Amino acid sequence: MTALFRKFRWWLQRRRREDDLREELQFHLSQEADDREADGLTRDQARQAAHRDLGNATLVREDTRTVWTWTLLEQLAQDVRYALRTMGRNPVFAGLAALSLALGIGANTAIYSFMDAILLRSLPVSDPASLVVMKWRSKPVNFGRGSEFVLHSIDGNTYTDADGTTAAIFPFPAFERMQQVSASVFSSLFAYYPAGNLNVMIGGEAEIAKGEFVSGDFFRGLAVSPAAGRLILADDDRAGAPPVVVLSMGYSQRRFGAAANAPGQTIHINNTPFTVIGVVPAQFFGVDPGENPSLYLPMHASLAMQSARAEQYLDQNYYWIQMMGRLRHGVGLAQAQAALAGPFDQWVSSTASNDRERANLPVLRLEEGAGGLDTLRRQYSKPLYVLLAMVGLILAIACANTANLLLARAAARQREMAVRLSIGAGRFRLVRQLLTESVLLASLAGALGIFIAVAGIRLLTRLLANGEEGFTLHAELNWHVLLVTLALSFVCGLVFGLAPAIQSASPALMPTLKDTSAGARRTRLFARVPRVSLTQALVVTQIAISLLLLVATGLFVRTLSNLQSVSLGFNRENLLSSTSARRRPDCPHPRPPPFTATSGAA
Amino acid sequence: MGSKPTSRVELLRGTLDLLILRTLLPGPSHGHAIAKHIQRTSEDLLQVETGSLYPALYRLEAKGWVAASWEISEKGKRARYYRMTPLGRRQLASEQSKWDAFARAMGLLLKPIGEEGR
Repeated sequence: MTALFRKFRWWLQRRRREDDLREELQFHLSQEADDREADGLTRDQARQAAHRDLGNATLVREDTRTVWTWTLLEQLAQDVRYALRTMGRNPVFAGLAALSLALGIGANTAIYSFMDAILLRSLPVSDPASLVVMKWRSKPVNFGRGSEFVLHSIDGNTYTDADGTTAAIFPFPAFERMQQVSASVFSSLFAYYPAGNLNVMIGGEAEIAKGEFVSGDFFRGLAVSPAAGRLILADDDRAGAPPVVVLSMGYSQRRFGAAANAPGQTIHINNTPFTVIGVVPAQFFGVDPGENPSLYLPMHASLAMQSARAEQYLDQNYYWIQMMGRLRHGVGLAQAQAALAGPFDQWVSSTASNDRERANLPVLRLEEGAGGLDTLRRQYSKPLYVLLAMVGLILAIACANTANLLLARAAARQREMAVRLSIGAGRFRLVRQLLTESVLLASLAGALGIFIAVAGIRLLTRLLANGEEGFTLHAELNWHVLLVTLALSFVCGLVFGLAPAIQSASPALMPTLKDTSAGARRTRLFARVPRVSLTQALVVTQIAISLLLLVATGLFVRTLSNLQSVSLGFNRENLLSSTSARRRPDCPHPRPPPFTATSGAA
Repeated sequence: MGSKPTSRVELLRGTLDLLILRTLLPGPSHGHAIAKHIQRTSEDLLQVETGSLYPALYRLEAKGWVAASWEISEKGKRARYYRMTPLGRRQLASEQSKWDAFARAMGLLLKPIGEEGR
C-alpha cells in the first residue's frame, strides 16, 4: 500500500525526476570523460569513450523510469491510442468487423434471453428446486372409443406420443388421497386449475380477466408472501367459506391505482361478489410462465359461482386439477415417487369400472417443478430452438467474417510488424498491442450488440405475441449470455487478430522488410500458401453456412406466413369480431357496457 | 584506469544494492563516484554498468534506504549526492549478515576436494 502511494507520489513528480536523471547522467558522462582525460586521452577521445562506457543513455533512462511509472498502464494507453488511430485510418474495416460481430452477439443474446425466460427460468418462489409436479403416464390411450380408460371426462390437456399418454391433471379425490399419504415426503401439496377468462366487474365497469383456482395450501406451498393484505389460506378453501380473491400486482395497480388500495374492496366475478384480501408480489406469475393470471381464487369458490360444479369435486373419473408438492428437506424426487406411486395405484385401480380400464391404469410420475408448468414451453420451445440454432450459425458466420477480415489485414500489416520488430519492438509488446486492438474491436461490437439485442427482444416479443393482447412473457436482457457471446467473439478476434504477430514472429524478417509492392509476389509466394488455404476454408465454410441459413430462413418465413394466412373456411373480408363484457343486470348505474372491436382476425 | 583487468566477475543478482549501501557507509557520494569506488575497491574485478547503477539508485531511493540531494561536487559542478538513511543502515546490516552466511556456506561447499580426506 505504501509502495503504491510512493509510486503515485513519484509519478506526480515525474517531470522533475526526469530532469534530475537527465542532469545526473550528464554529470556522470562529464565525470567519466574527465577521468579518461586524466588517463591521457585527448578530450574528444575521452568523451567518446565515456559515451561508449555509458551505453544507450535512452535505455538507461527508460530502465530507471520504471521505478516511478506504471509502465504497463502507460503502454496500455499508448496501445489504445494507436489502436484507435489504426481503426480511424480504416473505418470501413473497423465498422464491418464490429457490425458483423455485433449482429452475432445481439441476435444470440436476444434469442437466448427468450429461451431463458421460457425454458430455463425458475419459478419466482423461494427454493424452487424442491418443488415437484405430479403427472401420470399410461400406455397410449385413444379417447375416442368407448370406455377403455379411467379418464372419462377431462378439463385440460393430455399429450400422447408413440410410447404413451402423459398428463398433469387429476380428479379432485386423487388430490385428497395424495394429501393424506404424502405428509412423509412433502411438506405441502397443493392443487390449482386455470379458471380461464372471468367476467370481472369493479365499480360498475366490466372486464375479462384471467383467473386461477388454487387450493388453500397453494401460496404456503410455494412460499409466496403477500405484497399487500394476505394470501389465500386453507380456511378460505372450503365449501361455504366467504368468497375471497387475491389479485396480481399488475392487475391491482391497473384497477385500484396501487396494490395497497386493493385489500378490502369488493369486486364481482361472474356476478358473484368477492372480497379482495391481498396482492401477490410483482414477480410472481403463477405456476405457468405463460398464464400469468390476474386473479387467484380459492378452489371451492367455483361452487359459489356455479353450484352445479359440486359434483366435479366428487367425480373420480373427471380429470381437471393440477398438483404440485414441495419436498421435505432431505427427501429426493425418487424417494417421493416411491412413496406415492403405491397409494396412487391403489386409488386409481379403485376407480376403474371394467377390465379394459384396469388393463391400462395411469402410473404416477413426479417431475421437477422448478420451471413451473410447461404449456408455453411446448408451444414455443421448438421454434426457439430453431431460432437459437440459426443465430448460433449467424455468430459462427460473424466470427468467420471477422477472422477473414483480420487475416486480410494481417497480410497487409506484416510489413509494419517487421519494421517494428527490426527497430527493436519486443514481440510481447507487439502481441499486446494487437490484443489491445482486438479488445477494442470486441468492445465496440459488444456495445453495438447490446443495442441490437434490446431491439431484437422487442421485435421477438411482438412476433411471439402475434397480436395477442396482454402477452405476459417479458424477456429481460440476459447479461450472462451477452458476456458469453462477447467473450466468444473476443476470443475469435484475439486468435485471428494475432495472426500478423504470429506470422512476423518467424525469424525471416529480411525478406519481408526488403520486398516492396513490386517484388512482393514472388518472395512471399511460399509463405502465403498455408494462409491462403485457411482463408479459402473460411470462405467456403461461410458460404456453406450462409446457404443453409438462407434455406432455413426461407422455410421459416414461409411457415410463419402460412400460419398467418390459414384458411378459416369463410370470407374474412369486412368481418368484425367483437367482445363485450356485461355489467351485472341489477347494477344501479345506467352505464353502457364497454365495447371493444378488433377487425378481421378470428 | 586504462589497464585492462585480466578477468572480470559478473555481478551476482541482487548484490548491487548491497554494494551501493556499503559504499555509502562512510559518507555521501554521487553515482559516478559510487561506480568508480566499487570498481577500484574490487581491484577492477567488478564493473558496475551504468545501465544497472542508476535504476538501482532510484530504486533504493524509492525504498527509502538512501536519500538524494543536489550538491556541489569537489570540482565545482552540481551533482546528485546519495546519503544513507537510518533505514538503509539497518538494511545494510541485515544484508551483510545474510551475505556473510551465504559466503561461508559457499566457501565450505567449494573447498578443495583434497581437504575432505583429512
